[in-house]
Amino acid sequence: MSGSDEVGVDPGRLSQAASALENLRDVLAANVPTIVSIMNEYWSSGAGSPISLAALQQAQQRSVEDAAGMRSRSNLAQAFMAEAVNIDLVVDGQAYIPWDLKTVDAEDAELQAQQLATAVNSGNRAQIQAVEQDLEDHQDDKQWLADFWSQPQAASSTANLANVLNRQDGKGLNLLSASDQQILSTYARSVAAACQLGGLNTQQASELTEAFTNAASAHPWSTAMLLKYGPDGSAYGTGTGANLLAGVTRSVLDARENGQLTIPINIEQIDNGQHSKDLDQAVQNYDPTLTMLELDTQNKIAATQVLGGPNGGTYAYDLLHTPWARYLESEGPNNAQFLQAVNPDPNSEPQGPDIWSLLLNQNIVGSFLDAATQGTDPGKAPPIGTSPLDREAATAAMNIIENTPSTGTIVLSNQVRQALLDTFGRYLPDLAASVNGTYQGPNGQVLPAYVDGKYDGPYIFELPDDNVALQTFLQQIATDSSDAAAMQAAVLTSFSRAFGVQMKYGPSSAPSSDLANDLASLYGEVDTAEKNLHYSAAQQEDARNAALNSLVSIAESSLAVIPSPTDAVAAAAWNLQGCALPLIPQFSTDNAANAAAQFDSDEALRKIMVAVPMAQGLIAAGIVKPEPEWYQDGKINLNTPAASAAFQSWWEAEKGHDVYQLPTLYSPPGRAVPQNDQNTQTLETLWYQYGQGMQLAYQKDGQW
Amino acid sequence: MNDFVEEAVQAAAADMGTVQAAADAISGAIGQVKPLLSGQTWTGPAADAWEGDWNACYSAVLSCLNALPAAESSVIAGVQRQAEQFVTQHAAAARAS
Repeated sequence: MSGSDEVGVDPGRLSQAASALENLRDVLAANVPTIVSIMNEYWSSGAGSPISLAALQQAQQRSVEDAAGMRSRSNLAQAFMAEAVNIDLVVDGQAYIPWDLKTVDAEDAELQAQQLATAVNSGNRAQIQAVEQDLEDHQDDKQWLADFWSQPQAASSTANLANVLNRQDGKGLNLLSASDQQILSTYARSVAAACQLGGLNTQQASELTEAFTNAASAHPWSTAMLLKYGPDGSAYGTGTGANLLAGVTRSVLDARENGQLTIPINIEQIDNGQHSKDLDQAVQNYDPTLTMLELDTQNKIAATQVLGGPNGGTYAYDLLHTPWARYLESEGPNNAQFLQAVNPDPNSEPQGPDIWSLLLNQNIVGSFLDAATQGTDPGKAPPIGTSPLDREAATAAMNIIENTPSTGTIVLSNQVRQALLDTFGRYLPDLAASVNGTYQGPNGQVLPAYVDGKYDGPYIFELPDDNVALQTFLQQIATDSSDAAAMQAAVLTSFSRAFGVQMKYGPSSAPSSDLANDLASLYGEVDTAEKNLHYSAAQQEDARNAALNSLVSIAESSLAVIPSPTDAVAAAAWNLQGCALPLIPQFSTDNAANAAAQFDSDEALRKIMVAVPMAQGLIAAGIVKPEPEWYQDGKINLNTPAASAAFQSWWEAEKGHDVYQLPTLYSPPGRAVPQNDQNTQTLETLWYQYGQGMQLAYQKDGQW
Repeated sequence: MNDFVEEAVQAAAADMGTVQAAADAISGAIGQVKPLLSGQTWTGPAADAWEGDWNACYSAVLSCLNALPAAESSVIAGVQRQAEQFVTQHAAAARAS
């Protein structure tokens, strides 16, 4: 070792100095705030003569670095003495070390990573805790953390820690003691801090992610437990940390699918037998899949990366088709029997009476699926954005929809169905465009949305043309009748807005050439889902009633956000997402008592189901002036026989006219000039077209 | 009313006792470090420079700690004066009414 600031040190006294400085750091932290607080309180009340306490606060501030730096120097001195090659250099028991902190930190971080690897291999708990102390001391030191975590063995050693600690003092159903959890917590917090503080360069960040991903392949349970006892998933941040969580999750999900997970519960140490409730709880608690899904949900971006990234479709399939874990007793070290998680597919090997299964916590699975499709907006009804994350979120949504199992295979839990319903609401225009396949581009892909030939919108996905995936997805949601009604209400509300905007500004190119028509067809798909699920006529009517009541209960102010006319329909499409699911009420089962009660036949109700949203759209777009007999407080009123009759009378008078020459035409200025046949159709022609799409309009005796 | 003054002074004295105990703890911790920062522990200009810097910093700390007892007494005296003023004003107001 050489260098201008090289210092000869007595390793024993240096170690004592480091300990004394650590003690001073702790004493200052415990006492300086007390002195400052009490004295300032008296001085501010006018008692006594103030003196400066700045020296105390400055000392407290520098004591952190003094202690950490001296401990690092002490570590280097100890290591110098332990190196056989240095024996010849040792004079009077002195070691030679660098002194400047940058060099000291870099060498100490490397040394600690080496010592951790040795400690993990040999199970040397004291050494593991010594390194833990160093990590704790350097928790906010981004350069030291970058130096430590960029060492090649740091990630692999840390990922194996839970295995080592479990072998030391795991007992019965307590696989990791409080002390183990404390150690894991410090190491995981250090990983999160290294990811967040920005000390890692691009290559180091990428290598750290890869190292943890690979380590999780080798030690999936141990890696997940390390992260479980660390900070909340959001503490890992949006960059390296999110990539790291996603990488570990992929490895864990791969291991789950390949039957390579072992939860080290020693069955022989459990008195109550294999199938006890406590055992079930312990398995859920120590399940690496649930651990990672929960952390990814907290992080959100990691969840999106897992389901929207490589093999995202496979992961979605696995979680939706096999939402449980299967276990087999397996022989471990010393002939002890451990739990081996095997392929969760009940049709795969192994099989037999020794296999038992446990449903994964559906709150966690549902939240994970929900988080994955959120994109850059944290809410449930964003306009989905234009960032790469939004592209992954759209891909995640498509993967979930395409891999939703049929209700004949499995009926999903309430929590998972809720996640599907949220996804439905977020991607309503995408789903509508998928029904008729009107958006440009190949089938079954996520595409950038183009408006007038330019990329100018959120990513949009289009499902395969046969609508099988869409229908399966809708049927899973519609297994709950109130959710079916919620979907119909959302579609009807969105249809109303899209129709109004199209009537004002004409059709557009994105996300579909005729969004109102596509939404009508999506409504029809929901209707088909209800039929496929064998809803009774009464159930279907009740869902329609609920949707209609929802539509007429929405004030004009909520509906009438008419965007600027540059590409109004495209803009409306994105705005639709803002009026999708959040407006859906929870319906009772007797909605026929309200507005729909005014229609004495199913046929009359079908007619009004199409006419009301069209009228609402025309009013919201400012194209027609509503009449007070059936329109009050920004809402169409159908709640009395007189109001209902007045609305129907208005409709009958209007429907035969060209939509640009309606008798109650209100404010045509700014309205687009008709460009094609569609825009010059009568209201009734459009009503029939949309009604057919909604599967509500039929010809009967030559009449609609 | 004398009780009021006495109680105020006692409360201030107790708080100052807390402050002094904290100061003593810090002095004690500094005292444990100082003997270890010397030529017996290291030899080299970089370490000597660090030691000098550390000593300068903690010399100011010790000066501050040494000044605390007088400041504490000043606080207690100040509290007593404020309490006595309050009692006097209160009595005058009572007489006037």
